[in-house]
Order: sequence, then structure tokens, then C-alpha cells
Amino acid sequence: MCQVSAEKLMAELEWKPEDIDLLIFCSQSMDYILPATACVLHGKLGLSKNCTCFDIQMGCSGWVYALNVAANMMQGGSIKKALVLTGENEGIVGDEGRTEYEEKVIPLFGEAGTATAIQFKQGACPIETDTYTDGSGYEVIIRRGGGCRHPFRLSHFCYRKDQYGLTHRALDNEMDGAAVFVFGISEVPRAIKGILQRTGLSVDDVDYFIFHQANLMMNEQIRKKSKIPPEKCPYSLRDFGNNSSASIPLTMVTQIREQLIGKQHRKIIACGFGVGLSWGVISFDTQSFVAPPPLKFNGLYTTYT
Amino acid sequence: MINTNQFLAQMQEVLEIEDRTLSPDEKFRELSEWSSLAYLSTIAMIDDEYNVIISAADFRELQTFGDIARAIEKRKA
Repeated sequence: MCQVSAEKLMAELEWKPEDIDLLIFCSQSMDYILPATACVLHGKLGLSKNCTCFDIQMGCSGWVYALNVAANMMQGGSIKKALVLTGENEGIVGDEGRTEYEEKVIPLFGEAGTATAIQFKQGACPIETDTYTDGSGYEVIIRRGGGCRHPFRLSHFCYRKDQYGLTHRALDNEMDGAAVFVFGISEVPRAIKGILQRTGLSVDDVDYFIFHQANLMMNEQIRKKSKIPPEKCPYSLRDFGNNSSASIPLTMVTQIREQLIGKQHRKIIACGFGVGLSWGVISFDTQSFVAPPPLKFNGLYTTYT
Repeated sequence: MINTNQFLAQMQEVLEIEDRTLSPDEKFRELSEWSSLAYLSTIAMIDDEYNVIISAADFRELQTFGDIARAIEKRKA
């Protein structure tokens, strides 16, 4: 999905494969355990050998993290054009042989791939980012089996009841929903307040606040606590669910695309938060915003550029 | 001091209980109206009304509505 998104976006921008200096793939559903999916995508997109490619293994905060890394690398001067590809595809939505666990999570989560292109421009408005981590909450959202800590075993495929009476496998993602909720409504409003104060902006100065699409109850609580009017806070949740690192760009291109295209200087603050625990806020201006229309992929998956 | 009756009325609204009043000694986890969603609504209501957030670990220790009220009070002090 990220490959198709990147191809569409590059065609729209008239970027040639050899122009791209940096490709970051940010996801927790990589194609292979090794090599890095960024390298796989490099080959599929036919990029030049001078292009720096690597993966960032982050979830819901991923788009903010990856954009932060790309923007900072551009400050060095050698990178002029970068692609940030984010998304999740756990193969659940199109799979007819779903497991008991997958049937439960389908209404909550979606699958999407996104491509974001950024270009160095002298005198452009700075991209401001604040990124945060609380590793003491690493178990709040976790997939326990399959990594080097608990290498694959046959028992990981067996369903077991956990301490809360929920049935799942070691290969499934676990989430302590209440702990995530408490984390979200405590830390995210604080981070939003922090970036507004640091950049000297007020809520009125910002055109849109784009949140990671976690769930409506948590997002609305964050919005209300941050005193953001509903019209400044678009949702794509009802259409696509939670798409992890894809949810911020997905919301931008499906909910406010018309409001951004062809307009100069729209001020946006985006905020990603989740697994890690990890969260980040990014403040940027869109100028000459380009977004090809979203695509459906193979009739099963939805891909967005 | 938080007003216990007011807190119980707020909990009644969260749990959408209309036909009876709640008492401080009632064990909320035993009510048929209690659910994971009611739990999140409770955390959100306490945040809205009292500007207090009780962590998931601390909340697990609470049994009665009175316990919740005391936990709020402790954090407001």
C-alpha cells in the first residue's frame, strides 16, 4: 500500500526516483523480520543508490516521529527530498479465515498505507516537534510472542485466558484500554499545551488539530481538555477506525483535503500517541499542499496518499 | 471535601441508572451497569468534574463508590 501511495504521490509531484534522498518507513507491520522494509520499498520504487533508507518501528506516534527525523536530517543540508511512508497492514481486513481475536478487533482497527513527501525549502516555516516517551508503560500495549525476548514457539498459537479473563494468543496484540485512556487524557493535552506555549501560538492561530484516531471517547476528552473547537478537529475514525501511524495523514487527506489544496499557509498541529508509551506533537504549515485522491487497494485494503 | 451525594448523582448519570439512588458502600464492579466502557466514562467524568485523573493501577484497588470519592479527595488535597 505504501508503494502504491508513494508512486501516485511522486507522479503528482513530478518527483523522479533519482531525486529522492531519504526514505523512512515507519510501521509495526514490516514485510519481513529482515531486511528493513524501507530497503524493499527502495527497490520497488527504483530509487537511487545514494538514497538513505531505514525503518522506524513505532506505532501510533510514528508519523510524528518519522516526520521529525526526516525534517531534522534535512537541516544537515544534504537531503532535499524525502519520503515518509507509514501505515499498518496486519492482513486482517481482507482475510476470510479470521481468528476469534481478529473478529473482535476488526471493528476497531483499519489498514492503510500512506506516503508523505517533504521538500527542503529555504525560508520555509519551521517544523516544530516535541516527542515524548514513557517506557515504564511498555506493557500497556504489547505483542508478547515472536520477538527475541520470547522467540516463536508452537504454544504462541494457542488461545489462553489472561488475568482479565480475555482469550487471545501470545501472537496477538494486548492492550490495557483503561491505562491507555488515562495516559492519553493526561499526557496529550499537556503536550499540546507545551507546543502552543513554546511556539507562542494560541488555539485560535491554528487552523487544524489532527489527532491520531485512537477512539472517539479518548479523542473527544483530549479535544475538550485542550479547549479546541470541534470544527478544528476532524475525525476519520468513523470511516476507517484506528490505523496507527497512518491515521494522521489519512485524516488530513480524507477530511480536510479540499481545505488544504491550493491554499497557502494552513497552520496544523498533529499529535500521535500510543504504543511505547510514546507520543509526539508536530506543528507545521502546509504550503502548496498536494494530495492525490485516496485509493482502494485490491478492492480490499484502502490506500491513501 | 467533595460532596458525596453530588458524586453519587454524577456516577448515576455515568452508569445511566434512573430508577434508584446509589450508596457509598455499594460495590460498583458488582453492578450489571458496570463495564469497561462505564469505567472509561467514569475516568472522563472525574477528570471533567474534579480535574483529577486516577491511574489504572490505583483504580484497580477501589471497590465501592465511597472508595472512588475518597481517592478523588486524596488527589485534590
